[in-house]
Amino acid sequence: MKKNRYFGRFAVFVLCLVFAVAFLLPTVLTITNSFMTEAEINSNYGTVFNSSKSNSYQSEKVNLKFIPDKVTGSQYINGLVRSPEYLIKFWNSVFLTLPIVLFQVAIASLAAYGFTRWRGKIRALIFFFYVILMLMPYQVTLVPNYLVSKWMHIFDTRWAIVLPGTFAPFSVFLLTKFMRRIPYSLIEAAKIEGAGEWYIFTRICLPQCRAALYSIVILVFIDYWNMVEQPLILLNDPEKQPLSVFLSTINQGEIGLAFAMATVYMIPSLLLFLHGEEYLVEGIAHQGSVKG
Amino acid sequence: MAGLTIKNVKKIYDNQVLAVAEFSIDIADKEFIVLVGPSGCGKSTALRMIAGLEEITDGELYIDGQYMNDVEPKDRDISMVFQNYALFPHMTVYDNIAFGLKRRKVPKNEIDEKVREVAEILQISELLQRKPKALSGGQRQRVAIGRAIVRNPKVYLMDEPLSNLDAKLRNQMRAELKKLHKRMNTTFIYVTHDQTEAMTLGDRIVVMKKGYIQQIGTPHEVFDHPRNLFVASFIGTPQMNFIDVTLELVNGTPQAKVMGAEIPLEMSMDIGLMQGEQRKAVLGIRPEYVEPGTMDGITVKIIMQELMGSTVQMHLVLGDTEIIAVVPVSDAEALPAAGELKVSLPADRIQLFDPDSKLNYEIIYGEKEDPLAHLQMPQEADEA
Repeated sequence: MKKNRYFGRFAVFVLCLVFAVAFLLPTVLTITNSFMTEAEINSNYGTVFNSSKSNSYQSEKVNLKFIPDKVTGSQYINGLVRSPEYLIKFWNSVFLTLPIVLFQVAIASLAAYGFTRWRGKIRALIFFFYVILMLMPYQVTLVPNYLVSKWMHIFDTRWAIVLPGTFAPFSVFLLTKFMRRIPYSLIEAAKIEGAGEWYIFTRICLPQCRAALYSIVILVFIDYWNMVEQPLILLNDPEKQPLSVFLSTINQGEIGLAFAMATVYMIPSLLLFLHGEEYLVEGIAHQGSVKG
Repeated sequence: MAGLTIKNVKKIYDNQVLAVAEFSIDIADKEFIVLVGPSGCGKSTALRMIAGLEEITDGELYIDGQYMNDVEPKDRDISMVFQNYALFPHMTVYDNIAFGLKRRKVPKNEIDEKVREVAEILQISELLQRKPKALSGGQRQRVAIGRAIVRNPKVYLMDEPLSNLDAKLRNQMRAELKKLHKRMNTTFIYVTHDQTEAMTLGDRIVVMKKGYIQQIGTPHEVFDHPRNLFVASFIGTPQMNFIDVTLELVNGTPQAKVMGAEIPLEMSMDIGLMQGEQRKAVLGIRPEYVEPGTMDGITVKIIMQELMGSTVQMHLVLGDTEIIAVVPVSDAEALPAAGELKVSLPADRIQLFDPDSKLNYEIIYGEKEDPLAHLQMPQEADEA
């Protein structure tokens, strides 16, 4: 009996290990390959990416290789210093994502405060609509967004992405749920002690929603940092495209560079996640649900 | 320091629920008033209306002679201690206490001086840099009180501030609140559902039920001269004994009859009967005043005895009515533990109530005018 139990546990462990390796493989491959030379990469995946620019030997079959023959930082130097194209796209990503995160957090916290403090009869109805909107995948709204951006004359500008990203029901929902957990007596105590509405919002409510705010910042950042559909539809000019879109054109060559820039591209999300990991867990755990 | 005048204040919520009806009282400067009653009696709503946290549907509120109905809570010069303490969890004890002073732009050195002085009074000086989550229930309570007293407002409002504490700490804090009232020498309005707190703390007690004031009086008045059956049953632990009796005049002397036994009443008591007339009534007597083991009196059966420490609660039955007698342990030792015994009900301790109006006979037939006569609780609301 005991032997069988140990065998079962071992089988589960092996299964989990296989899944973990499968999940980690692409990330590890990207990072290790970013330190290879162009020639070594071409020799491994030449037929897949079939670079017309490359004159070196190309392998006939895909050869997954994790340990570089020679570790080099040349791809990073090329991407960050010599070839401005990737760097420009990186900054495009930054200038699209940061305003969305900032505006969304600001608008969502104000809206959530309104939902928490306002006790009118139609509050529940409006909040219900928010939840319904949240359940709608954003791909559904891409066509209306395209039409509205044309109508507003912001098509092919950064605002075509930033504006729809600013007003997001999920953040409002998460923050409202969080703010409602704050005992009402705290707000009343602050009122009696002389605090105005703005002071209560900024100094009493927001500091207690730190976990939810962190969660929103991380989730929204990762969501928009990795966006592909919105820029493809709402931005015509390739110069304005973020790195997430540009990285998908890697089959045009410079595969080593793409590995290096993909690694660079991972860093902000990773840092943000590591910095606020505890808050992310707390922020979402309190809602009893995770973002779908 | 200020008195309050509350005139016919009423609170009806949007869903037409009546929370407080015709609440009227004059509260003197430096008085300690306790609003007491069971859950849902409107005591907290009344307090919140004084604080400005609930809108007054009708009536007038004056603090220190100034009309306050539409004045913002922060401008009423009041402070409030909440049941759940309402401490700001992200601020230190120091910042919590200093919160009101900072909002009122008091100079920093003055804030520091006042916060440290209050911390000294409440014995929380060593906790000033801690966050509320690192404090025990009693310490949090002290911080909440500290935040309330540091501004030295005109009126202190306290909404069941001790109900989250354990019994021992509650007794300790109760005594400290009493001392604090003496020290601060200002008006306190205190809400509780605990009648012991009401009796020990209040200069006057306001007993409420279903939004209506049932009685306003000193602890002594409320205990010994309850205005109606509700007050008689709510105030006092164990509660007053109630016995259904028939009243009549025997040779001009008022008497109550129960199960064939006669209970003499005070000669001077007016029961509103002519010779030969009879009327049903409810006789009330506090367990502390029941005298068991007398030579004559009414015969009761002993059900059980409960040792409460220095006293014994004797559960007795008279006909089909259970009554309780509280006697010192030394006296109880001389009494039988089971079987029957005689009890005497001292005439000067007996209260009579009308079973229909539920009012005390002192109110119906007494010489004093009932100050709450205008405030008749609807029968259906009373029975609901």
